[in-house]
Amino acid sequence: MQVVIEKKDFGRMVDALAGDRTLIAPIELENGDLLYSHVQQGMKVCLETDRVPLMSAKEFFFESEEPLFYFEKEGTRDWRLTLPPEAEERVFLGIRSCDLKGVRYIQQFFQEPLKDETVIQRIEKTLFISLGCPKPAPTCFCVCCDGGPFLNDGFDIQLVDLEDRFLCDVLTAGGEDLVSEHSDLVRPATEEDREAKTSLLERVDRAFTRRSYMAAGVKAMSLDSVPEKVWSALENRCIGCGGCAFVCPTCTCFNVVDRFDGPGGVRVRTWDSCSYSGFTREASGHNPRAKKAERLKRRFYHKLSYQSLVSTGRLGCVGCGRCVLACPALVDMSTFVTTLRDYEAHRSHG
Amino acid sequence: MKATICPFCSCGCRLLPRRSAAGKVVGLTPSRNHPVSMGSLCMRGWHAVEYAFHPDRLTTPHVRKNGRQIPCSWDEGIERAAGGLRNVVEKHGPEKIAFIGSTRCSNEDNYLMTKLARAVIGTSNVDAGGRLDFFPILDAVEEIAGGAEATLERIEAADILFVIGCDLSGSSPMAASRVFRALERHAELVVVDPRPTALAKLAHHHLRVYPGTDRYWMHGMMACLIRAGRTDLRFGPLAKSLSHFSLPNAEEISRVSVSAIEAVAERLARARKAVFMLGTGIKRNGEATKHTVHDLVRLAGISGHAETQGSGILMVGGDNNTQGAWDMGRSRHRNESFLGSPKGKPDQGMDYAQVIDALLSGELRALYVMGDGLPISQNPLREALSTLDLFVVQDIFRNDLTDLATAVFPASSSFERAGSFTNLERRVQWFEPILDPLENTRPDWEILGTLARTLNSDFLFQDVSEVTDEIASQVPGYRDIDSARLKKSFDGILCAAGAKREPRIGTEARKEEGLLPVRSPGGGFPLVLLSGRDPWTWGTGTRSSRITLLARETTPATLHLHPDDAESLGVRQGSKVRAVWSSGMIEAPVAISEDVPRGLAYMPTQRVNGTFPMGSKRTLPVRIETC
Repeated sequence: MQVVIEKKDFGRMVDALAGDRTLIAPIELENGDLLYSHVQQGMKVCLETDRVPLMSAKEFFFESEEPLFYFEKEGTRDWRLTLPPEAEERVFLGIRSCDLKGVRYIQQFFQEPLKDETVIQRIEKTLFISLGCPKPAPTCFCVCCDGGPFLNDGFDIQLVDLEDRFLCDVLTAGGEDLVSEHSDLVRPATEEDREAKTSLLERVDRAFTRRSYMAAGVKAMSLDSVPEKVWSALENRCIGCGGCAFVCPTCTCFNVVDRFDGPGGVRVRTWDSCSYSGFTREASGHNPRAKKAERLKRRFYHKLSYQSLVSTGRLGCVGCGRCVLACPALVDMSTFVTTLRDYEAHRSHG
Repeated sequence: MKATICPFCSCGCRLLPRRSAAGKVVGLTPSRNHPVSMGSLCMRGWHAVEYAFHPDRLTTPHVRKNGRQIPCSWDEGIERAAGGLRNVVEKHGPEKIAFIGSTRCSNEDNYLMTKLARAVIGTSNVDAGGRLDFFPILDAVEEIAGGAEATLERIEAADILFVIGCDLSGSSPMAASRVFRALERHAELVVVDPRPTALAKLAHHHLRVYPGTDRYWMHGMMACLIRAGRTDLRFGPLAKSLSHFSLPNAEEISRVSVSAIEAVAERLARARKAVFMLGTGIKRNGEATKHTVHDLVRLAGISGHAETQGSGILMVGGDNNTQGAWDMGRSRHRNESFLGSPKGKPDQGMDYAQVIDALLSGELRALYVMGDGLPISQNPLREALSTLDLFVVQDIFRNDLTDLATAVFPASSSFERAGSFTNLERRVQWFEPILDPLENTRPDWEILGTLARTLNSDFLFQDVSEVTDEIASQVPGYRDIDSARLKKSFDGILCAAGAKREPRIGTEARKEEGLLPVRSPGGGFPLVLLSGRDPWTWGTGTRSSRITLLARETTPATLHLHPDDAESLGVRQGSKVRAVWSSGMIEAPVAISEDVPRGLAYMPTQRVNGTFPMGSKRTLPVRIETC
């Protein structure tokens, strides 16, 4: 089903959504930073796509620190455990294509072989109104990663920006219900709207300025042919901040820790990063990835290699470009695969 | 959305709170539209907020009664501190009281501490722990050049970069980030450090200088520039005094080769923009630190970079508010006139090191410490503190010092309050509370204000902005940087260098002071021990060790030795050894590494087992014994 909503009516739609359920959407901060945030009635949602929200949508499903359970001593020997509240119904409006791809990727990770109810519930109880990108940011390379700029599946509703109106691709029953709730604000799409979408898709593909040579990365990581000097150059730059993992829509490294407070406490799961030495250090003190170069290698292997591709069904990168923006040392996906491609070209030409 | 500033290093990244579905702040996100963070953070920044939730936070004032610390009300605690100060002033005089502020506390906190000491109590004995490492560098730069003036932006745009005595990627990561960007633009990188830091491995020139001999390569480069005629007439006296300088001699002493000195001098002369980043490694020059810093300014001047737009010197590696704490009255040059001379006596008062000496000699009767540490693993100091008439500590955590205090005040962390910090570029930035105040804690400035009012002063500050506004009217360089402007400026405001004096560029003849041939350490101490720190432990680790993932990265310290030295000592990887120096020793397992030059030993100071001398003595002659 395809319907159209005029942009002048969109604010009413946002207010209506914020009024009757929990709504998440991108907002603009005073200083110009964009952020996915809980939105209340009257707040302005920012659906510009040439700036990327600071963090991916991941934090709303796999939270950066979340309680697994609370514990309290009862008597001398027993502990009373309480679970955190269950996930609520939400609408995620304006999630970028790449970020929704990321959510579907982590959904798979938390689904099998061991199901994580908390994360899965949060994803299943969220209705996704994704935002196709009419204008990529200079750091975007989703076109190279099957990450966007528009999606064919995975959303409930997809917004296609046709300047004065949004064409809404409605894919699921949940999406159709939402549209029928707001039938006063929408009209059926016409042939003209559909043609406008087709021509937009063609235009957007040409608007990407960044090339990210993922194939060079897949080949080199699958064949383990990355020259040592590439790793050592990266190792000397990477400051080990872990930021690439935190901003990445598909990274799922976590740590579990008990935080005590008085007679009780909470067991929390926190984000972690495979670039930290302590992430793989064993109890004996031995570390299978003691060197930073080995940890970087692991990270890129997991995102790019054929072996990972087979087990997850896709590249571990959606091309959102956040690592390009967040890495203080220019050790990001796009720069990395470009280095590999340049090296390959250099080698073949002697 | 309210935003804060990172409480760790002196870069000053802008941080936004990240909340869980339940509304709790669970992390921090770097602002992208900010001239320092630019969307990035280091590991400390990503996890910084965790320590604010640690159960070790102090939440009740305490006073000592009959030898025991007991919880009390704020009124009782303040009354006890005020009464104690009054007694010491009356019985012994205000000069028997000293105040130690902190390079981690805000401008407002440090300003009020200076004001409390000078205008209320009447003593100039006010300083901070930054004296050991950073303040002498700031003093020396200001004395000769009227203040450092490079910015992070200038690093990125420079043609040649010097990183001297600093593991930049660990201690000032956002400065390192700018270096990476400059390298992409084909800037030339010169790293001066005895050890191959991560950045040294990327450098075009790594000058592995012998610790404490920096003046030799600096003089060598100046001599090269003069001989090549690459300097103007104003430097006549300096040129004359360097005319007989021997480069081979400089090589022998500093271990930096003549060819490297010549090559870097050549590149420096050709560069249009040069930025010199100066870390605490410069303190390895000991007594000659001041002259070494002055020499660096001369080198910048003679190579034509002192006055060039886009060049400059930047002190790296400091705390979040090292510059601000120094500006708020810790500068030794400004001290004499700042906030008026107490009771008409123009004196500089005791600095941090002198306070420790005075404590040990029993010269002081009261000490007030705000958010800083003292080297109390030394037993005599511990005893000296316990015999004071009054010892007040305000801090966010219970620690060795709070245990000895006669009054303890629980302070709010910077995440729970507002104020301003000044970063390494002298960018003054406003931070806002992103957490609710922890119950029963108070901001440092408010504790000092309440205490001052109890002492009948006219500190009528109701809000922190009023302190900021007074700073804007009182502190040189902070003129017009009032709270209204700061609150509106997400990027912060760069303040003008504070000195009124006409900046000089070091045209006068070189000074020979401190330029002595370095002898091999003798007296039974054949090796020189260098101290450093890993990037996951900040300072003494009060805060960073309470952050799960930072603590997990930190491994027990090892003593690093060159393979040849290890062989001649007969020790192997993992052997337990003891490094012994004239006044102490330390035990650690050996790590054999080519990264350490022969004749040196290196040790990161986190989790050390023993007493390590703090700050100023960054090189120690030692002998190694097997355990």
